[in-house]
Amino acid sequence: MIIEQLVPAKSPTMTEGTIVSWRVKPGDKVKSGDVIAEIQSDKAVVEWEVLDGGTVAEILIPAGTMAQVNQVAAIFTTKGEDVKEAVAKAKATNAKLAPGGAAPAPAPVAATPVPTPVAAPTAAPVASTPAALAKGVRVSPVAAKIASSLGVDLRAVKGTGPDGRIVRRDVEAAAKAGTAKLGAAGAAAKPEKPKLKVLRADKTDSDVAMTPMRLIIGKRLLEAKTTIPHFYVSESVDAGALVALREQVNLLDGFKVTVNDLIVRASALALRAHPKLNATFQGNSIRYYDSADISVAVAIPDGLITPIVAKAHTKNLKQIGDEVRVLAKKAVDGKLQPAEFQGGSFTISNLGMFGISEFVAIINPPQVAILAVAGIKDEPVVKNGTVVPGKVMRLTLSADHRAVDGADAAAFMKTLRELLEAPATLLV
Amino acid sequence: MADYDVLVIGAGPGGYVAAIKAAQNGKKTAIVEREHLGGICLNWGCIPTKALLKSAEIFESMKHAKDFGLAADNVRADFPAVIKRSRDVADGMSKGIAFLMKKNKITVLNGSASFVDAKTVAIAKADGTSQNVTADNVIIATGHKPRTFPHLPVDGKQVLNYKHLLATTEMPKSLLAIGAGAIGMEFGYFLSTMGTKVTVVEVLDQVLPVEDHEIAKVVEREFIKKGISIRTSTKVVKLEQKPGVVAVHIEKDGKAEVIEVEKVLVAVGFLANTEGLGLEKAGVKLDERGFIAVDANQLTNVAGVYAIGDVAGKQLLAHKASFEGEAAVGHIVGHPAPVDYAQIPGCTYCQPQVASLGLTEKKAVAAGKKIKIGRFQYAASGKAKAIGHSEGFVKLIFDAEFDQLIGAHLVGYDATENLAELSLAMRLESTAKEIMETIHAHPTLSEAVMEAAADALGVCVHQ
Repeated sequence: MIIEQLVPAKSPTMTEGTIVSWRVKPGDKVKSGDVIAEIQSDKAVVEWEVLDGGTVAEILIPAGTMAQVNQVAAIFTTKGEDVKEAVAKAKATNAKLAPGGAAPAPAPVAATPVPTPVAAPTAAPVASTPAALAKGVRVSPVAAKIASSLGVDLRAVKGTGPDGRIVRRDVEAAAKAGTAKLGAAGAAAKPEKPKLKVLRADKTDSDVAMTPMRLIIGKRLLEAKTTIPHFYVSESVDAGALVALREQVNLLDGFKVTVNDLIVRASALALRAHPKLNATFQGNSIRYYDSADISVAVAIPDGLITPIVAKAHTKNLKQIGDEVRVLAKKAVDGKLQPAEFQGGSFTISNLGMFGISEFVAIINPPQVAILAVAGIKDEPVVKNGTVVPGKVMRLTLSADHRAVDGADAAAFMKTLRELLEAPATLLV
Repeated sequence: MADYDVLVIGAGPGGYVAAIKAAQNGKKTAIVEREHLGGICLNWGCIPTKALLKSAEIFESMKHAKDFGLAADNVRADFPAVIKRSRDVADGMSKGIAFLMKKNKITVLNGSASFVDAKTVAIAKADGTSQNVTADNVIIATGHKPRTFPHLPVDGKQVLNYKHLLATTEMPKSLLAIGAGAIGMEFGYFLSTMGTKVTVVEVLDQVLPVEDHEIAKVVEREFIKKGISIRTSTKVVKLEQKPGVVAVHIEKDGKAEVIEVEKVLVAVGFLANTEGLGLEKAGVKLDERGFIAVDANQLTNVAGVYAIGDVAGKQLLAHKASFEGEAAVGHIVGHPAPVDYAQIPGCTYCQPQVASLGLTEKKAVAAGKKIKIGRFQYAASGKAKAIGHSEGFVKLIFDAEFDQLIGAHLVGYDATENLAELSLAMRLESTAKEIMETIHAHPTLSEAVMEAAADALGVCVHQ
């Protein structure tokens, strides 16, 4: 049997993706469940496991190429059948699915024209799918209702119902993706040695195509920055005690607590005290959460993602630290499950490791606030009327003024500062 | 090159629709049929039974003429004439299908089909000759046959299946139907109206077991009013055939009883019609229940071989078969359109009729859904009163959060004709609001649908 391996949709919103690498080559035998390639979806790099095994006869989409969902990426055989005809058919399918419609695919089809069966009688084929309807959003009543309830912009939703109509599942997928934490600004990154890199002037300029992830980040952040009325509240924290505590805790065998873990813990406690910040904005209503499910921005190759420390208020520092490191590794490896990055109630973006003085972040909708954490700096501080050397960390909260007022944000920041300045509170 | 692009085996409502769709899409198409075009549906199922039920209904109205201020004395049924009308209706339909095949330039091959391999089918004709035809795609649409059970031996004389009853010319004095599904209930209603003493035995705890329990209750009540004996939660242990009578041994809650009747109708259990098809030569696999295993596009495990309708399992419904036929052709021509099984309506044509779609209340609750229910009794409908059929009601089930229609259940006079708007509503993902706000003509029975939607939202006008 000849088996076409079609590019799978690895997330509800994925319509195209890049085949990052092939794990198989023509001639390889593949079992059902084997990973044959890695695909960059709009969310992450994911493994492609096949359902139908066989022998790899032909790979049609080379690694590094952008592919559309349902294009034929590879052809397998089960009994070593001749695949010439199948390859020609698959190339035609791929060309049809390529952006721009029925134009030939970039890779030219085999020079010899494939004979088409001429069995069809005189009757002209009747297309089963009518042409897409012209402008205007077509949406089912229940989908419209859900969109309005969840604050989903229907113009940005792709319909998968009859003739592209937006149906319930589309809005639900869009709402989920909206909480997929790609909207957060700023991100953690691997600490680098302080070595200056200078751009080489002798290199030519280059245009690099936006990856699906960059396109999504661009779209989401543009929407967040242009539609959410942001306001900002900054606070300086005397981090002397925090740094000392961290050093002491890390003396314990098996402990490796970071400043970020302390901030996650402190934020969780502060959110429980100020639930107005622990919320999502839903158009006509605001949903307040009991649990502090904190999204932590993590830099990944060419983008960022915000895995969630769920129920952070119930976890101790070690649990939080261990969890963040597991999630960050998964994020970098592209192995986060949707549940691990969708549905947080507050985001922390930490650029402290770069020694940044301060920065502000873009809110990660539908959340209503994001905390930007800068580096800890040696600065003079005033204690008991005297200027003494101290350690200062600047925190900036961006909040959505539709859901949060200045006083709420200030009160939250005050609590957060008090917790961080008396960090023993974070141990209980 | 193959003889045909698409070869359809079986010309029932699945097969002939698939053939027409394939032809409309420019495929060179042939259809094989060993008996009559139209299959069970037109010849031995949907259509002839509806003809019988109409006779029963008119007869019933005549018996109640006095209620309407009319005199019709000495009303009696001419049983053989009723059966003859039903056969005439069926014969007329079959000719209509022959016309459709011709119009769409579909080759009709009369004979029994059997696979030689996945692309070749041998057709054995009545004259003893055989012809091999090849096709790129084969759609199997051979339907079902009644299943036989060792303890319920159907002999066609005393113990019958529905096909025997459709051809019988003598009205039985008494009949016991085993199974209170659509077949048992429709024949029970028909024969009881004609004058047969009818008993319906069902092993489950309600008549019409697939329907909503409140709906089934109404039918059961109306049947009992007609003098039909309903035995639910009762199993048939054995049949004892004696001269002129069958002793049916039944058992409920461990208590045994024997009912003597002239005829028994076995209306439980169906098997896929796969015998003699040579599926093993094509390599086509069956599921654990003996139906042909297919994927969402009706494709079997063999490329180019599809199965649709009863032979592919699930509900035995003509419209399900037709839509599966469209799905198979859609896959062949590259526009897959899998059938959404949550949206297949089901109808029972006894009076009061039952029509339903989507989840029953019990199923919705079992699926963990939070639901809102709207009901409207026909007793509150002016039209129902005027036509003298105020029994029955409409029950609509919506998801509690967004009011999306997820279940629709109607019981009452001609309820089956009022289901279509709800099928459309479900297809369009409508909420209770759209149904309520759609202006329904007054006075019609369909107003009950609008009122039930309003009831779900707590703003019903007429109750």
